Amino acid sequence: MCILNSRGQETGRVNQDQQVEQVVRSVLCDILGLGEEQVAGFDADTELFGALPELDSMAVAGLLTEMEDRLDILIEDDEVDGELFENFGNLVNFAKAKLAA
Amino acid sequence: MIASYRFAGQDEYCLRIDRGRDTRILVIQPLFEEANRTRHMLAEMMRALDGHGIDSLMPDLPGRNESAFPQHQADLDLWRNALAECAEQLGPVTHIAALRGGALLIDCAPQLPVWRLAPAKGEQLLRTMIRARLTADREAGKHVTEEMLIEAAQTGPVELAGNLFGTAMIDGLKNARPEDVLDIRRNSRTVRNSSEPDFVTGMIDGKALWLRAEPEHNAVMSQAIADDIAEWIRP
Repeated sequence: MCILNSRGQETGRVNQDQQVEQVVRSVLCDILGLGEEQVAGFDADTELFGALPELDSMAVAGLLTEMEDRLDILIEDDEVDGELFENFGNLVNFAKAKLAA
Repeated sequence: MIASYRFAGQDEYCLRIDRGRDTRILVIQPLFEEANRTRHMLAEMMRALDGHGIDSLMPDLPGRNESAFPQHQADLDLWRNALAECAEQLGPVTHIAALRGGALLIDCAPQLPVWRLAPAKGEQLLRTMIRARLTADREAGKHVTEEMLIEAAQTGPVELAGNLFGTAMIDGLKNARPEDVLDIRRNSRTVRNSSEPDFVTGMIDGKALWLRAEPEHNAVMSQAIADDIAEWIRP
C-alpha cells in the first residue's frame, strides 16, 4: 500500500525535505504500481525514465498532477523535460525547489 | 447483470445487481480513463455489496464505454441528467456511492446520502489529460499549448488522451469541485486511500488503482469498500 501521509505536522526544513521525498515516493508507488519496498529503495541515482517502461506519457501526466495535488504546487508545462524524469533525485529536487520558491 | 436505460433516444448499458431489496445504491464511476482502470474493482465491489444484502446499479455514461452517444457532445450536466434517468428507470435508488470524478455528478439526485471515495477536482482530471496530449505532441515534434487546445475546442471536438471533448465539457471540468462540507449537509461519508485532505472522514486500505498506468484488480479492496459502505448505511 502507498499510504504515506503527505500532510504531516513537521515544520522544520529537514523534515519538510523528507516529507517531499516521501510524497514523491508514494506518487510513484500509486501511479506505477511498484512495490513499497522497491520504491523505498530508490535513491537519488535511481533511474526513472528509461528504466521504468510503465512511465509513458499518460503516466507522466498523472504523476505531475498528483504531485501538484499532494504538495500543493503548480508545475508549468515548460518546466517539464526529459531531465526531470532521468532519476529519482532530479524529481525530488525539482519538487523541493518548487516548494521553497 | 447487464441492464440498460433509455437516454437521448438510445439505450445505455448499466451493470446491475437487483434482488428487489430495500437498499439500492447508484454507483457513479470515476470519469474517463480512471473508469477503465477501476471497472473490475467496482464490479467486484457490487458483488460484495450483494453479499451485504444491498442492490446496486452502475450505469455507463453517454459517450463512454460502448455508448453510441457522440462523445464530444457530452458534458457534466448531460451526465447528471443521464444518471437521474437511470435512477428513475431502474430504481428506486436510496444511496449514492461516487468515486473520484464521479463525485462531481452527485447532484443527479440532490436528496440522497452520498458515500465518496477519493473525490477528485474536475480541473485535476482535465489537467492530466491535457498534459498527456501535450507530452504526446511534443514527442511527435509538434508545438501545441494548452491555450491552443482550449481555443480549438470552441470550434470543434478536441482529442485529449483518447477522449473527444467539446467546449462545454472542458468548461464544466474546469469549474467542478467536490464539495468539502458534503458530510454535514447530506449525512454522507468521504474516504480516501492515501493523501489526506482535511474533509476526509475515513480511510480504505488499498492502492489508488484509478491512478495506475497499467490496470490492476484488488479483490481485498473491493471487499473493503463494500464493507465500508454497508457499515455506513447500516451502522
